[in-house]
Amino acid sequence: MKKTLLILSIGISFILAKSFTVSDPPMIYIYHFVSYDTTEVIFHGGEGDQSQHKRLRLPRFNAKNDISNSQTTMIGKTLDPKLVSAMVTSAVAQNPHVNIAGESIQNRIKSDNFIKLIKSYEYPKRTDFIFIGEINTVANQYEIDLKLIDVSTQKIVSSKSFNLLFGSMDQLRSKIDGIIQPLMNDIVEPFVGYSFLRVDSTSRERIRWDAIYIRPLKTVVGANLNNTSESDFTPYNTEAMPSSFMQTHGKILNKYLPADYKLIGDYSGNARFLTGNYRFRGFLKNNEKPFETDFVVLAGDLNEVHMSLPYTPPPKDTDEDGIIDDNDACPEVPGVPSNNPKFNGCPPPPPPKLLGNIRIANIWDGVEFELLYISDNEAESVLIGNKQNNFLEVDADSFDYIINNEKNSLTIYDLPLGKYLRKSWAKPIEVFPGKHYVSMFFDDDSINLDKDGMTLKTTIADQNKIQGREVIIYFDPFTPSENDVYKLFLEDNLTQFTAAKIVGELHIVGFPVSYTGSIRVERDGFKNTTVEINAGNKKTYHIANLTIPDDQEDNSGVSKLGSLWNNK
Amino acid sequence: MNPAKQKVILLTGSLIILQSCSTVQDLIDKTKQGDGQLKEELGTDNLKDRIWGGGNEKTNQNQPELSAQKYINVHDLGRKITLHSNFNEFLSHIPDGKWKSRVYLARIDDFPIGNIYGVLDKWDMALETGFIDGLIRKGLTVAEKLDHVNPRDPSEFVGTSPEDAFYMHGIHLDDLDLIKKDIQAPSLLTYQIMEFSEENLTVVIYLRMIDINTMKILTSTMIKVGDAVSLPAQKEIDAFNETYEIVKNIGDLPRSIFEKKISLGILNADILNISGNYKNTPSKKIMAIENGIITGLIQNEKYKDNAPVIMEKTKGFKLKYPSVYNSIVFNTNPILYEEWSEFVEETNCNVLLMYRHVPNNGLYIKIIDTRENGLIFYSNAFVFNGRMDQGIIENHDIVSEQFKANVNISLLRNKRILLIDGDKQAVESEEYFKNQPTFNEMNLIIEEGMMTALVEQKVSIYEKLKTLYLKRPWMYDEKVFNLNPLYLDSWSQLKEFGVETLVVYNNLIPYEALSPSNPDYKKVAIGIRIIDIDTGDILQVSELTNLN
Repeated sequence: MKKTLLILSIGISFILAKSFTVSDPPMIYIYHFVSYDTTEVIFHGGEGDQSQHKRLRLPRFNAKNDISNSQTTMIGKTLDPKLVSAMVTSAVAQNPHVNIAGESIQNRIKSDNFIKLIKSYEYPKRTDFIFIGEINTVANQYEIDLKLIDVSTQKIVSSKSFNLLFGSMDQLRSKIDGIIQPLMNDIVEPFVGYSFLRVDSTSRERIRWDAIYIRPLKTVVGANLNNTSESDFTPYNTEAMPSSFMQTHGKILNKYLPADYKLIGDYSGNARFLTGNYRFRGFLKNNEKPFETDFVVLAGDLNEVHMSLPYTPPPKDTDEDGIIDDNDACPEVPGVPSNNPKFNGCPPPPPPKLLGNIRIANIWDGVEFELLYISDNEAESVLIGNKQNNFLEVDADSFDYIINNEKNSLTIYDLPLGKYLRKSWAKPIEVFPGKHYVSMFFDDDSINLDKDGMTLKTTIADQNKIQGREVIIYFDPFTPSENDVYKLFLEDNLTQFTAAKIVGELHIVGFPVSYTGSIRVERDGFKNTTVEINAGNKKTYHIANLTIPDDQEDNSGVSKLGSLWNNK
Repeated sequence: MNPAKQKVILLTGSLIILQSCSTVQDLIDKTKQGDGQLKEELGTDNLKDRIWGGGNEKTNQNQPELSAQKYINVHDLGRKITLHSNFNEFLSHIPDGKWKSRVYLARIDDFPIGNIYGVLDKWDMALETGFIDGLIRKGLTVAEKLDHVNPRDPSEFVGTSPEDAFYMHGIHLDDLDLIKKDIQAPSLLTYQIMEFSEENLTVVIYLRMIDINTMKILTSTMIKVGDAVSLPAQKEIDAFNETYEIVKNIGDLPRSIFEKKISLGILNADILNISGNYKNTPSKKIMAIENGIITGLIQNEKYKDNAPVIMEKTKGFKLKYPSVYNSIVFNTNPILYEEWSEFVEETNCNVLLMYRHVPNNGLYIKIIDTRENGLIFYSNAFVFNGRMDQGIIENHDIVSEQFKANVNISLLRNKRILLIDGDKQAVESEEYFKNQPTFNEMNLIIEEGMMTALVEQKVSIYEKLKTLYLKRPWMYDEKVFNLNPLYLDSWSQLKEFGVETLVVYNNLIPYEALSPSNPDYKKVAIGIRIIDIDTGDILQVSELTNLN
């Protein structure tokens, strides 16, 4: 009969070719029983009446571990079968694809055939394998046998045993793991495959590669096959596709950009999936609705989970500043984000201008001055002014200024920070009509306005410090019209030291006695002329010939020795 | 070495040889031995070339008959200079203390106008030797010329900027010290050969003795020796004599100009006051004119021999730039400086005599006290003796007389007067600026006639020195008619200028456009306004005219 049943079972299992899926994973029942080589201790119940004897079976006394003397005997402890059972269960459970149908522990009191024994046992439905652990105590060691029996065929799929010295309990788990885990792998390996997530252009920039969840569509609960629910989603991660897959699945993968696909695995590093149907949920950036799709894992394959989001045209961003027009307060002008909707997408407001003030002090009667803003070797006039007969005249188009009551100081407000140059020179004075007098006076000062709100003071030097002789320059001709201006420069200086209108002669007073050099005189439309000055203490008289038009050859430099004498 | 310096050195060497002949007879003996010996002693075959580097040779230079006798004749000609009566007059003016002074003799010819020597030869040496002979015989001590005395570099006073006035001292100024100290000759006797012919044995020479310490002219004369009928230098001689005669005989020259403290500068004004340029190019003749004036002054009855006053002009007589005259008031003094004090400082000249020689007319003289801010204390015009005036001097006199007759002098007395030519400036300003440079001596004499009148009336009138500008043509635009032509903001500015009363005259005859033969040229028609600067009131309007 037994033989007949076993053959039948094998036959059925063959017909029904065992196949595991995620919805029907391997179910293993763990069954332990313990068999001891025992020392039987008989507690006599009465003389001659053996029926009254009580028998206590204990592991065999061990001379090494047991302590015995003439009076008493300490008995070695028996190995608790629960311990072994728990370790086996744990080892089985480490394979995520294997389900544990249940476990039980029995002492194998009788030396029955364990096949017979397990047959007599009622297992949960859907149990595929029975794990039988048999623990015996032999001499001074444990003898542990582990057998895996295919329920359907009732064949021993695997049988492994190992010895463990009484004092070597610390090796027990590793030995069990070393047997069971390969064994479990052997069971599921034919039924697992891999999965990878591939995105396309619709989702490339939106997928969160580290926030994906997967659940099988169905699962076994007890003997029933139930649909899974939201709570069954398990977090998964992705990793770059290992090179081994690139070799084995190049034809599939090379069609895509490497950045568009990644291997899916759980957080313990396991990338295997039992065959079956799964649901994928990928969370997206920017709180977009998660993407879900079902996929199938086929054993041995690298299965694709394709994420393709519905195409939505990008929102209009006319100025291409990354802020869509709907949110862009300045849709046609590239700008920057701002928490203030009124400014979001608008050009950043210019940094608040850092401004300072400059005070020009000691403005004395007869001085002219100019404030220049210096940038990139260029000078821009900010303000020009002069004081004459206690009247301070200022020309500053763009800046506010205040003149003090004494009219000897001027403060210009809200100047951009930077470098400034204050130049001062003496204003020609028309002491007598046609005769202008100018004090040879130069003074300048560099001002570095470098702190917001600061006021810097620049003081014009006192004119009375200037001492020197008088140099008179007659102009030929007397300025022909009231608009003609004669400008005078020292050497090649670009800034005139004075300029005069309606003038026949200029008296430069306070001219340095040690100065040897030239004064350049300019008249618009005519060639410049140079007046040579030699060092000396005496007043000198010169003529500036400004009669040669720009486009005429200048012969004035030709020496005319005796010109006065020959000129009628 | 400076060629001029080399020349003086060689000339000096030649003179040493010649003077090594202890007597004239000794010289004759040497010349009798033939020209060759003389050449040998002079160390050259061609003396002239060695000295002057070639040039035009005088005729008969190497003819045999020009040897000893001719040399003696030329020598005598030189000596005769000292025998001339003018030379006695010349000597008579040497101050008492200067008689025994060593004299350094220097031929300067045209140095004062920047020309170096012309062609000189042995006859020039003979002439000078004879002259020296005569000087010695007259008791003068003549220093032997040993050291390097150079002509003055003409570029120091010709073609300068600003330009120097005419007639500057021609010997190197530094060498004057050398003459005085090393040669111990405090007196410099310069002479200009105006004419010399060894053939005709004629010489016309101008002599001037200068005290090197004070650079004052001690005495001066022109001497003509020889009986030639006509001389190439006749026009210079005439020019000298014309002015000499006038000046010598001026009876009303202020005595104050002959005081010892005076340094009298003489300036050829020409028409500098109009254009800043000389109309008459500096020349021998113009030098002769100035020489004549100097000689005339020295021989004037008021001159004091022991108080020499006339300056030998050396430096500082700088003139205004000509172009300045294009925009300033007419007849402004040509001296460059703004203040007379500057002029005094630069020249040490405290009285300036300005003259204008007007050919065919006469001589105008104006004397300015430079210490008194340009006070004009003499002004007059003179006709050349025995010659007809073409109208200039006459008009001067007419204007002067008319002014005295028609202008209320009391309005001007004790006032500082500025006399300006208003002309038609106010209505024809542009035309005025165009015409003004063409003004001539008549325009000047009109104003000077008024000056003469004012000076004679003891009214203080000052020479215009500082530039005073006229209104430019555009300044009359959109203004009321007949503005004062001065470019002024207020009358007070004229006061600052040192003026209290303004005399504006309008000359109604365009002399500049008339030839002297035109009858109108001799007419006078002048309108005058006298303006009180304090109030701006017109005090008087008058006319000066000889129109009937």
